[in-house]
Amino acid sequence: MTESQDANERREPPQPASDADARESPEEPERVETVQSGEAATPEEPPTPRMRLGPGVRAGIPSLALVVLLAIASFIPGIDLAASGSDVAAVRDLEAVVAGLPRGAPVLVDVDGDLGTYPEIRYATRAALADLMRQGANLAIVSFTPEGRAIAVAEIARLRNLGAGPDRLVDLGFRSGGEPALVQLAGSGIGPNATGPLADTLRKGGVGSFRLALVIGGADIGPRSWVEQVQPRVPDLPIAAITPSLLLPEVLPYRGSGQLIALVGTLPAALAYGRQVSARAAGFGPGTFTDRSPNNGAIVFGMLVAIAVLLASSGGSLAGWARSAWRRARS
Amino acid sequence: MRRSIAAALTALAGLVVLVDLAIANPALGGLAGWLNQLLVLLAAGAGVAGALMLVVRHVGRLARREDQLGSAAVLLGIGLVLLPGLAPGSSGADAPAVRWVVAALLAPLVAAVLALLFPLLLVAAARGLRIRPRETALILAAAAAVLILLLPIGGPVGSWLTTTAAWVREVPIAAVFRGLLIGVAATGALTAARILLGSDATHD
Amino acid sequence: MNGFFETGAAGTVATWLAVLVTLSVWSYLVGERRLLRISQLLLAGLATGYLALIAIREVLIPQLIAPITTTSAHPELVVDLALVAVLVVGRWLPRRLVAVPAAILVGGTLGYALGGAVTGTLLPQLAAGMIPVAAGPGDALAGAIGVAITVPVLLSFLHGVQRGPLLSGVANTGRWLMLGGIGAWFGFLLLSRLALLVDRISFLLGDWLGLLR
Repeated sequence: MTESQDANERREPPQPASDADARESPEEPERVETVQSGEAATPEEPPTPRMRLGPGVRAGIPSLALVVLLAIASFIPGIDLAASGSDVAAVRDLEAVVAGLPRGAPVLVDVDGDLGTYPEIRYATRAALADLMRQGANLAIVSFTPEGRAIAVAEIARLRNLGAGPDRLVDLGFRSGGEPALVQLAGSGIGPNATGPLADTLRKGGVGSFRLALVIGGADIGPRSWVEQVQPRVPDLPIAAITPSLLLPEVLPYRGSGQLIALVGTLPAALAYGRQVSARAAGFGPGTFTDRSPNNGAIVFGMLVAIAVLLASSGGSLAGWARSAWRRARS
Repeated sequence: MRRSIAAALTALAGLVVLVDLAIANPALGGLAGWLNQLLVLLAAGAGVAGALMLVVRHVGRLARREDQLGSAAVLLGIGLVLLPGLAPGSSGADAPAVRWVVAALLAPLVAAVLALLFPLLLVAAARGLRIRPRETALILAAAAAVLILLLPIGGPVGSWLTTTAAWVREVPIAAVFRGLLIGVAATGALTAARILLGSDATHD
Repeated sequence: MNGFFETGAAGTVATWLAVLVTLSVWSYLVGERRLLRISQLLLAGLATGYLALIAIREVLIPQLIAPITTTSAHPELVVDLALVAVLVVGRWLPRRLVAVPAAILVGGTLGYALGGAVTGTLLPQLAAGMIPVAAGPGDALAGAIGVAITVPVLLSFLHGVQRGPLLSGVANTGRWLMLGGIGAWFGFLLLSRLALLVDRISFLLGDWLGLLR
């Protein structure tokens, strides 16, 4: 087969199966020229196979590149997400709430983070559980969502492995229904599921015997549900919350109105709180807190990428809008 | 006739709950307590109903040889959790086998799917400009501003950023969301009242 | 979930499975849709199965089945059992029968939502939106700015209401302020998802490959 015959065959591209293939076909003449100029001396060598990327792959390249760059950025040391003044105040509020509990105080912990946002608050949540245990509080853990229950089961197992016995920790299980279940807890107390000496004591005292409710919030059940359903029925039960960033704007007004006595909701605040607890955590037992904090290098790199994309996308529109507004104002 | 019975039951259930919140009455309290427990049980029943329907549907699809791999995946997922969880002597969600399945499969799957949202949201944000350019541009610019304010920059610039970030969170953002919360609560309350009183029949 | 894997063979297998499903989902980034679809269907089964498990073991058995089978002093639970059973097998029953428990569920949930929205959100937030009399100058300014933002946002909710040019202008301003607020929320959403993505990458690099400490 001669080179010119090869070139002729390649000038008639195959019928495109998709738009992507049709878009690729105009490249065929270029390849012919390259072949002709580059391979004039060696006509018998087969053409260099050229990798064709499918449309799905091409569409995913930016996202894949981002994941790879984030992985590389994970090795950047020494970056810290600084806590602002209000983050520091939020951390102090939560610390004060925990430090103000007497030894043996029963604390109701609602673990209802969802699996999509729990990694963001896992560090602060475990810090809070360790701090409460170190302070001598007795925990009753309940969940109102399936994902929250999955997380609660794992956290309870972790605390039990660290030595939290049935006199310090009771599992109140899962309650279905969302808001009606919250009302059931507020009205009927901890219910018949839980067993053990701590459960018996809490059952006798009712939900009013709890000194604090700590809500680990998620997309379905969070501080807002507690404020709306539990607080009107049990107004003397103080409610503190740890929430992921995406819930923060929705929950901030409840902190501002005083319906929540403490709220840790930003990543810098969560990191600051974890470091504070780590400094005073117990050496062993359920008050231990030695978790690895989230990878700040990768987070900061991701933030920079997001800022660049958002500004590049919106900048043109906003500039055009500002220009036309300026022209209208002048005319 | 069917619609009026359902509407009447909807209204009755809602009104019992509301009146019990407003008035302390032992008889009403007892009725509201029973209704509350019934709601919790019905919600659990709805969860079981969902699983049952999924099993029936996908067993049927397997029998008809439709999408066998997909149906097998669904049934495998259900079986991996239900079988060890409901086995005699099992402690349910706390059983080691169930915890293992959750840690090895459920949690990583949810996390992996939702983690993809970060790059995909950025792509979608850029595409949103084609539909509503001005509104989307404002949303994107505000998002960028929030992220800039959270950047860990040292020195006086960083200090100014953290102070500004705190103020922006506590004053304008909180004020917007207070307005949203009040508006949504009022609108939701009106809609709920309309449904309970039967003047909105679309819920049936 | 980071740190939830046991030690030993079970933990190693769990880690590898978690890696496998993570990479299956992320194969979407290289154009592989089938693995993502199978992963999503597996997830649907797992999530539905888990909900059914905890609904049966932690709600229906202790609160309904056990009291009925162990004692006879709960006649109201028989009614509950009947209604729950109707809902569970509702696919095979006449719609008018299934409508009964469904209507009760809808009505009760709406009642709680309405009551909670008014007593827990509407009234306290309206009160909190006001500027306190004893506020210092800084707080008063912040409060005034807050009111100046909250009121237009609230007015933007009034659809279909007759409003003059002033009210329309304020409502339009509220709409733009709301968009700004939604943008801020979008920024926080990106941060949440970024933290999740970084956690997954840390799991792959740290727990699986052992490259991160």
